[in-house]
This record gives sequence, C-alpha cells and structure tokens, in this order.
Amino acid sequence: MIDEPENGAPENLDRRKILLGLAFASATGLAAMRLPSEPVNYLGNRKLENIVPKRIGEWEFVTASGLVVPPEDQLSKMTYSQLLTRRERWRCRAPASWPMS
Amino acid sequence: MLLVKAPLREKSLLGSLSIADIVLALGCAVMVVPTLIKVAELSWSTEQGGHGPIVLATGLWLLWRELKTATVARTRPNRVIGYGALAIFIAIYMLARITSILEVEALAMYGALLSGAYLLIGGALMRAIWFPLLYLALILPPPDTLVFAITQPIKIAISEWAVAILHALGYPIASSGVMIQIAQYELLVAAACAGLNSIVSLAAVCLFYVYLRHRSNPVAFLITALAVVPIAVFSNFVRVIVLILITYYMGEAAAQGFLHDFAGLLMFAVALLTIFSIDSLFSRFISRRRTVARL
Repeated sequence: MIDEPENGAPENLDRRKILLGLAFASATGLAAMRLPSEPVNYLGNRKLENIVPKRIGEWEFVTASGLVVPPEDQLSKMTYSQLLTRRERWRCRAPASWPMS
Repeated sequence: MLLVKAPLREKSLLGSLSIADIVLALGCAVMVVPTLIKVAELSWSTEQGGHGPIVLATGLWLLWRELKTATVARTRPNRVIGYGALAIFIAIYMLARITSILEVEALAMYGALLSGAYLLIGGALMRAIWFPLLYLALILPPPDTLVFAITQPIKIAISEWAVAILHALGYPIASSGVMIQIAQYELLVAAACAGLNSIVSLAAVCLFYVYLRHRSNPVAFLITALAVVPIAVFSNFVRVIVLILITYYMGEAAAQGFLHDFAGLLMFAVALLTIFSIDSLFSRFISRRRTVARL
C-alpha cells in the first residue's frame, strides 16, 4: 500500500501483508502435516458389553437394570464413548475350575 | 478480523485489490477456517457455546461498522512487539493444533490474528476498535476447568436460594447439595440443566446491547457492563424457580420437555428485560441530574 516515512525507515505494508499471509498459511500447513493421522480408537466397532466377561472371578452377572447412575450430561457424553453398568452377584463357593479373570 | 477488511475493500475499490491483500486474506482463511469449523462442531452445538454463531455475526458487523467510522489515523506499530507476539502465538498455535487442544488453539489463533492486525493497522486504530475485538473473543471456547471452577459455586448457591425461597413460601421442598426434592419429585441441578453454562451467552447478548447503547459514554458503559454478571445469575435463578414450579404443578415430563426449552427462552427474556430496565433507570437518573445541574 502506502509507505509512511514518518520517522525511521519507511514501512513496506505490501511486503508485510504477504509475510503475514505466508506465515499464517505455512504455520497451519506445517501443523496439519505433523498432526497424527491415526485416531486412537481402542474399542472400534466392538461393544463394551460383549468384551467384558459376564463372569469375573467369583462375581456373576445378574442384571443391567436397577442401578443408580448419575444422569448423562454433556461432560460425560463428551468423555466416554460407551458406558457399561452391571449388577453382579458374588458366588460364595466358586468351583476351582472357574476362570479367574 | 482481517477477513473483514478484505471484503470491505473489495466493495469500495473492487479492482484495486492487490496481490498482497489476496495473499493475506488467503493466509488468514487457511488458518482461521479449519479451527473455526472445529470450534463450531465441538462448542457451538452445546449449551455452553450456543451463542457462537450470533456473536460471530454481530461481532463482525460491529467490527465493520467501527472500521468504517473510525477517525483515528494509523500509527506506526512497534515492530519488536508485533513480530514477537506473532512468533509466540504462532508457535503456541502450532503446538496446540498438533496436540488437538482446541481451547488453546483457538486462543492462540486469535492472538496471532490480533498481532498481525497490529502490525498492519497500528496501536491507535486497534484501541479504537477494542470492543468488537474483545467481543469476538467470546466465540472462543473457554477452558472447561475455568468454567467449572467459576460456575459450580454459583450453581449450588442458586439452587440453595431457590429452595430457601420456595420453602419460605410453604412448598414441600428440601435440598442436599445439587439434589432438590420437591413433593414426590427429585430434581438434579445437572451441569446442562442449571443454565449457568449459558452465562457467557447471556453476557454476550447483554454486552452487545450495552455497547450499542452507551458506547459514547464510558461511565454508563462500565456500570451497565458490570451489571451483566448479576443479571445473568438472576435470570438463571428465575429459570431454576420456574423449572421447579413446572415440575411441582405439571410433573416431571413437562419440565424435561418443551417447557424446559421454554424456561431457557424465558431466562433470556428476563435477562434482556432486566438490562433494559436498569438501562432506562440509569438514563433517567443521568438526565435528571443534568437538568438539575442546568438549573
């Protein structure tokens, strides 16, 4: 645009604009290049309900209902992709043949 | 905000758009658009950032209006400050972009844009358009930790006040923490429900009004702007009381459905009406004092 030789060296605004534009674009481009492209997704299509065994040690699955859980709000929706709630019952005398995990 | 300058020039001197302007506009667009899209996806769709589109539109309009009427001459920017700030903000922006910390990314992007603008238009003009610049910063998503730290105590206080008032009026109501028990219903002042997430939205709407009304009078602007926070708290208080009463008289289904949104709208109406009345009281007071002074 216009040089303004008020005091000191004149400013070249056109050069400055190009510099700024290039700086913004190249910073964004560089950051986009360095951005990890593989999203972290441990679960994939699998459902948490199918992964977690129905029987854990001496605890046995009873029901998924009747549990008091805090209502879902925007924060929990954002934080967790899946939520699994279960009520389990303890088997006092588990046979030794049961899997322990 | 540089994006606005480009279309502005396009309108007035369509042909004289130089290559430098185009490079600048493209560079800004490349930086701003992806971040803004992410902000829109993550923040504008929630109650916390629902004001984003409105603030963006009105803020850009204010900026355009201020720039068009600005009478301040351009001053030479301090190059060390300008380029220093630019380098710092761009470095933070890249780091935050790579690590996907959106709050920091958006803030650093805005900082980089501001330092770029400072380098181009100088300090005096930047000061002349301070309000739109500050106002536009409201579309940036605030850090969650900060929001929760500030709003949580207010949220609990509001539910306690509401319970105390309704209890004094004879309603069967009691509370413990964020749980409210009214008759057979149990209400939870949940994060999304307390409406305090909308405190920024309310503040934005009120600030916009106050600025348009009192921009020439700094004292009036300051006083009404300071009133914005208590107004936001008060209108949230009204909303909580309305929601409790709807639950009591019409049942839980009504309170969670259409009437829940209605209570949200009512809150905005209450906020605006309150600021209108404060404003008119204030104006009357000022004009009376002036007539007295003249006599």
